[in-house]
Amino acid sequence: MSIREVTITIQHCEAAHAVVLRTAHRLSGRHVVSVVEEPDRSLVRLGAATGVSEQMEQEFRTLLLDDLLRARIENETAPLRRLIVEAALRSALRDPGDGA
Amino acid sequence: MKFQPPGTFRPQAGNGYRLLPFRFGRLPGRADEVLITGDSGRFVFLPETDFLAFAQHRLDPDTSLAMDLEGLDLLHRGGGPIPLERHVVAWRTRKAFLFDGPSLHIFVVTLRCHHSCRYCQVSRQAESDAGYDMDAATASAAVDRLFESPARQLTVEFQGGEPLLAFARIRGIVEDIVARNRSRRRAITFVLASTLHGITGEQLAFFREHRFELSTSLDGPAALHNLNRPLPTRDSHARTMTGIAAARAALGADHVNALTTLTRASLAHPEAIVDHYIEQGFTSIFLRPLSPYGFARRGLARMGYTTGEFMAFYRRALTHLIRRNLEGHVLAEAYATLLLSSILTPFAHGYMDLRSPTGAGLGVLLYDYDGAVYPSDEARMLAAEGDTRFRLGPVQTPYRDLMLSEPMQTLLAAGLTESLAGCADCVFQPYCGADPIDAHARQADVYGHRPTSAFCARQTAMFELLFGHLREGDPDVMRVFQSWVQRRRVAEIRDESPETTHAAA
Ligand code: SF4
Repeated sequence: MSIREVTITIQHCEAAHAVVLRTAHRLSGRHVVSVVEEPDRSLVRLGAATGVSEQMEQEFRTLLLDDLLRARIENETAPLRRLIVEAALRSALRDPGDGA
Repeated sequence: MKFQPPGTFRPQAGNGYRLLPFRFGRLPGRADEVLITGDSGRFVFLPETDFLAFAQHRLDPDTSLAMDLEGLDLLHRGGGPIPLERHVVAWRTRKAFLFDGPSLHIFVVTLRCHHSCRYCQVSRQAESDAGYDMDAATASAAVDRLFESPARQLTVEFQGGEPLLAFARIRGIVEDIVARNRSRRRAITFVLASTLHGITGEQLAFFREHRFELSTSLDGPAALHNLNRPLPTRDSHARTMTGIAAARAALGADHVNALTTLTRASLAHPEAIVDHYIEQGFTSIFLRPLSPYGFARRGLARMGYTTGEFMAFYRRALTHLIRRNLEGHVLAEAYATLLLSSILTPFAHGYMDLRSPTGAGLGVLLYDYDGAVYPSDEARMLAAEGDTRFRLGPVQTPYRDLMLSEPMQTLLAAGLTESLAGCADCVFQPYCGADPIDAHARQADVYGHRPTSAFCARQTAMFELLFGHLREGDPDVMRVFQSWVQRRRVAEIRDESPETTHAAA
């Protein structure tokens, strides 16, 4: 059985390495995945027994767009999320038994 | 006290609104539509263009869409402070289970059993085998641990083997608990998980006196049940039905429940299994797939099936259940009800396997017949196979030390969907749970690998199925779902869509 392989280059100015890793993780159930970080870019190698190389790259880039947006949203909302959780835990310690 | 910078509470300048924490994803076959779920569990479907405008701060804050999204706690408009207290209360409500400590305490009073079920998960021993019953000292120490746990509401569940073979021990434990509870004043529910075969009048009178809930196993019509649960006499189904009838007569139908376990043989009969439950007067059915533990794991190749095969069965069963409910029968599917309650209400459900942080140890403690304490039944089954990594300690260990034990540290580190790779940004995260013991059993890694996890595949498929129905919003299906969540008859449910879908395009 021949394995199709594609190597995708993502410049750090396009997407941070951490975001590339997230997208690669999503595909790690279907493809053999390896990710290498270089000074200015991430190199993603995808291998699969079936599929077309161009489609594999296109799918990766589509998922990456969503993950970029997720990273932006997380960046914006994480401080508030942390604040809410901290306040909830603090209030629970203040009023134990008042679960909700 | 350290104060957050004022900017944390204020909308960002120039865009008219601020995003509140949410996740997003897409359902299969709906690529141009985005499902958004907030941390409070409220959700909405948006067309891709509206979603991008919203997420990229290009939405006019004065539009009705922006107001709808604000109503769903997905954005905050204007220059005023974010109503932090409201979000705090919402978070506490969804995580209410966290503040109680272990509320489910399982006593495995014996490993002996008269069955040799094809998929048995508990390493059962023959009925006559000696040395597999809980002794009095172990039972007493387990009751010590029970009352050390801080939960005001406790459930004490007796399991086996077949626990009725150790009825004297059950009686002793219950009497000890009742006596101690005169001063401790906890709300305690007793549960017995049993085949109910050969249950006696004396036993039933005792269970009635202490308001037990009885839970038994019913796999479907006689042929299927007898195939799954063989007895030399080949009458397991008849004996179960006799036990159910006797238990209902003594305790009332509301106090007798049944669970079904699905083998490969079951998958061809979803309609027959559902109809059998209706015929037998049950109001709930729990369509459980086989789990990868104990004898079940060894029999998995013969009796097991893929997630895809299970979901094909489940879809047929759900369709049939909806039809039967609309005809006036009352039968809820328990797993769908749990997930729908989490999706459609602000409250936490009590189900241990779908909690974050994990329910193992934090919600459940199990006292094995031999005096070992485990954070869940699955951990005990692994130990029966020789993998004792989740054993918390001997039952004489104080509660505090059990909770600070090394296995608990491992479970806590790996038991938070909010921080697990794959789960952390999953659109279904607010309704899902972490189960590090299951991940270890299936993938030899407590953190698990979501893209190849059978648990995640099933959860994803279940959520996609239910959210698909919610998106379609068929009024009949919505009424059935609401009747399950609200525990009312379909006829009592008014024809209305869940308010959380109201901003959908
Ligand atoms: S287990 Fe799967 S479905 Fe559940 S939150 Fe994690 S990624 Fe989502």
